[in-house]
Amino acid sequence: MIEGILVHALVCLEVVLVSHLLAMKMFTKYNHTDERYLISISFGLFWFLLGLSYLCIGLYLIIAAYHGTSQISSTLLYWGFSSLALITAPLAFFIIQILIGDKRVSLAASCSFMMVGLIFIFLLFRYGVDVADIGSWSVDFKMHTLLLLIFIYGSYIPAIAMIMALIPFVALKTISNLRKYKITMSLISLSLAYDFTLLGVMNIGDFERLLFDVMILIGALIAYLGYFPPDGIVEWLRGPDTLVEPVDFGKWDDDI
Amino acid sequence: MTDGIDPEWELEVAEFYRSLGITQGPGDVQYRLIALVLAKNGVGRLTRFSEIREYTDRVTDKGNIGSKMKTVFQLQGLVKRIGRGEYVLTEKGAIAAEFIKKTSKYYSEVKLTQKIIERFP
Repeated sequence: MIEGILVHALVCLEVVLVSHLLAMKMFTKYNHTDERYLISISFGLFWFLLGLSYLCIGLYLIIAAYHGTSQISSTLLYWGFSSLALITAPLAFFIIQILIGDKRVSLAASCSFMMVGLIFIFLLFRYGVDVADIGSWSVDFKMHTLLLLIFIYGSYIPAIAMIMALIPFVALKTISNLRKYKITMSLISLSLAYDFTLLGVMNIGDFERLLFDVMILIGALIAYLGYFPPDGIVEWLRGPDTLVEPVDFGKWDDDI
Repeated sequence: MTDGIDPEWELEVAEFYRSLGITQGPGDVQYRLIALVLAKNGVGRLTRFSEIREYTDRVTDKGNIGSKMKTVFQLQGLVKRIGRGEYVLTEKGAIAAEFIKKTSKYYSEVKLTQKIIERFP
């Protein structure tokens, strides 16, 4: 038994717990007649797929910690990467639907990233992932360069560009602190998830990969706290000025 | 906003400013339409009252326009009356019209931003 890998697996399973809890809450946050229903679903789907990926990787690490690597446990690694390859599709729908508001455009963008993900999965099973060695904290693997390039240029860079498109809204003076908090937290969480997923896929270091997954766990927690903040944060962000009746801006009011 | 003047759009913009408590100038659809029609013809160019009415009659009470021309536009020197129902825009009036155009742009930006923010789950 390798304790370090079990610790790593535990971190992965915590990512699963937080991201799936967030996903379930996002799935049920709005009624299907609400304009934000599909946007909420797509955000939830993003975290669900990330959680699914970490579930497979976590189980893979548990098996590797006790029995070493095998063909059966490697299947879990393939499933994990497959799930990871598809996360940009719901993210594209989420961001483009917020910015443009046209379902056809959002779906088209989402489908194109789905195609990139499917190509990644096809090539993943074609070229395979070589499991090189079991370290103290992680399992070393080697992915084909083409797969890395597809992940970087077909998934990571477009996703970061889309996330950056939402940054200007954080600086708006006409929205409440609570809404700014929600937007900021979701952008930070998405950035953390993507950045450290990329570093994880690039297979840098041994202990470092545990740290990358800790950062993804922090990202998932930030996302959860962003959408479902504790009452203390809500009261602090609202401040005493909102005790005065606010200007009627309809949906501009915070809806948390 | 296109080069043409859309009274319905100007009414929508004016209603937005009225909702903010700005009832004069940008929040006054009559003021908006008069300034824009005058600006369409340009500084020092003749604008007939009937031309202004073509736009204002669609969205506002026709009786008030003459009064607005006298009490606001003529009094403040935004237009010069050169004959019966004939006016020319002054440079000061052109500044007012430019401001009105900018308020339309600001409203468009606010509306776009508001819609994006509303869609954020």
